Amino acid sequence: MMRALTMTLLRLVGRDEAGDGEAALVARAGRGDCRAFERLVALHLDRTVGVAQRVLGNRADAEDVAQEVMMRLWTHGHRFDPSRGRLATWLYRITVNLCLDRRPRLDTVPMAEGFDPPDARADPEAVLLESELRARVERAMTGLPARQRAALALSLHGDLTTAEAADVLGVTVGAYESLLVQSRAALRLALVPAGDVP
Amino acid sequence: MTRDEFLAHLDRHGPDPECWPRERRDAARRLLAADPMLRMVRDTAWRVDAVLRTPPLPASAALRARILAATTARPPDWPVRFAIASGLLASAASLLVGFYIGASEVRLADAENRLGAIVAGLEEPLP
Repeated sequence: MMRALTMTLLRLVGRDEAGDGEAALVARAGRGDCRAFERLVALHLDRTVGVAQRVLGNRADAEDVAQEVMMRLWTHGHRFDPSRGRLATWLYRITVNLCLDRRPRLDTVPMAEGFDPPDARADPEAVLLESELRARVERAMTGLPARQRAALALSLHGDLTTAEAADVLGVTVGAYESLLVQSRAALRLALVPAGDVP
Repeated sequence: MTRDEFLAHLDRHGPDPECWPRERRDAARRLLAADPMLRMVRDTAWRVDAVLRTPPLPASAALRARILAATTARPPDWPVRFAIASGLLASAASLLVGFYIGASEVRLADAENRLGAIVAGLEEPLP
């Protein structure tokens, strides 16, 4: 009883009993420690932008979402409960929810702008073919339902286990795998129309 | 293995048959060897996979700077939580003190009653 009360009070003031690792960094950031927060940003910002970009389809919106995610970590980091999973899972849940809540932009910029460009030293024809394929893939991605894009984004750039990714989306592992299969099938059909397979 | 089964495995396990269930790999390889259209579909899936796995560019320095600058404008809400926790602690302490004092007074009154009874007993004349 006393231990439970102590834990509750410690969590109310943002302290972490374990006192090490990411949970400690979050607790320190929650008390206003800018260095701890900077470290957390260094650890998680790139992947957060990557996942948001895959879901939203453009870099500018992805950076807006990533900024909001990091600010929530700064102001509401005390809500992160390390006993319920890794910080990455908590951050991706916020990221995906913000992305899904966002209205799709009509002037969506091709996503390739925010990904590594093709190797300039490669054969020009191969580079051109790869660029064309990349553009077709990005167009096909924007045609997928948002939750399928989110499932695909988490599987590609989230560095999560299947169970963690399912948890981020709030679905069972089976439902998450089903979203992945549906998204891959939709991409395949968009890039190789069914009529081409006799 | 039929074409539909092949495509279902392709969507579930990806373009590399080595990642497919062991008992389906040989049948998949045989079908691929015999069917140029499926080879084209599989090769496209492979290239799509490579495109999708292209790592995103790192977050821009401007974004990092915006985020870190915003921390000065929006401090974490821990002082509020600290005040709430302090208030809760103070309330709990007051309750405990009040309960202790109340219980002490009950015990004091009980002792006084007993003492009064003893004194009254002593004051009674002996038979």
